[in-house]
Amino acid sequence: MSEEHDHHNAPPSEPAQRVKALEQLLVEKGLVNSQALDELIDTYERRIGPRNGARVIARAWTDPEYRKRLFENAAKAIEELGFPPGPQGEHMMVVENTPRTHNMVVCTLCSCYPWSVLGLPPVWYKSTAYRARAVSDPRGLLSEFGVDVGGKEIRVWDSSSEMRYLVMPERPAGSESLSEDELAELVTRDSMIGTGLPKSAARRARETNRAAK
Amino acid sequence: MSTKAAENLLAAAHAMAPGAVFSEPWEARAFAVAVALCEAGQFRWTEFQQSLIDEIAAAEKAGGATSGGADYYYHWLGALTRLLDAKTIVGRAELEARVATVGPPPPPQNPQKQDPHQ
Repeated sequence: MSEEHDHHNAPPSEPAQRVKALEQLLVEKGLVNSQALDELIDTYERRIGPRNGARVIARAWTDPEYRKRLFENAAKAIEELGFPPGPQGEHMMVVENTPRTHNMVVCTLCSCYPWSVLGLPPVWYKSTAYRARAVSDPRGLLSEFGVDVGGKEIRVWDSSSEMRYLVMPERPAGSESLSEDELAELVTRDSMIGTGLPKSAARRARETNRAAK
Repeated sequence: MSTKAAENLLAAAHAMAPGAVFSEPWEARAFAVAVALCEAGQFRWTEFQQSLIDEIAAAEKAGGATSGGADYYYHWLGALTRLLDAKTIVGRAELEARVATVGPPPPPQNPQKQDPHQ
């Protein structure tokens, strides 16, 4: 590996220059076009994000038939709601939290993440520290993140190019009267990674009141 | 960095939970180039992923922990250029020659940095 990286003696160029040079060459070769790149960036910055996943979870909480389809073929059920699989492929599994089990997702080797439902991963998800500790000490890590799962068994799912995971959190108590859209507001990004819990119905009510004032 | 320090940083990074996906425009560019080339059939995603795994593993073996921010996209870019070289889509020498002509980036237009905490 050192041979590969020692070709040139000049100080390493700024990554911004390298990317610019790479894009120029690829445009000249007709392999990418800059406008398509702009559109891709816009999509991943604005249109694809955890709100997609929240809609999937809220639908599954309220529609038993959808829930069944989601567990049978997650990628297909997710696409039903208008979220096609990204370039990472379509292998996806939903893992369900229960009163006895808490699920948590990591990618120990790089940063595999269910883009179509959660967008791109947050910085900490890609860090060496998270990737190591999610496996070696998940309970300690959750407690540092301020999450108490009591005596539940914790299952850690290691994502890969073969399979990515979406956690289905437990539907919060007291949320029985909420509509599907209101339920989706309870579902946080972290609750679908398993590093957090959904908001309570009471917290949502407080936030809604505050926003109305 | 000590293990304890890394733990504290992790909890802090998690608490901050920034909404922004990319911290610098070049990160977004590097991301989009890889996705676009894969969608155009130049390589399979698993090939890119393996290249990324190799980059990250080499850096971590050399003792550098990844924070998951700009350093992660630095690995991403390394993985991409290595794969493009291996597939003779863009050779290493060709890229280096072009980098030299691109020149240093212009100074920032707006010196006031945005506070990521806001």
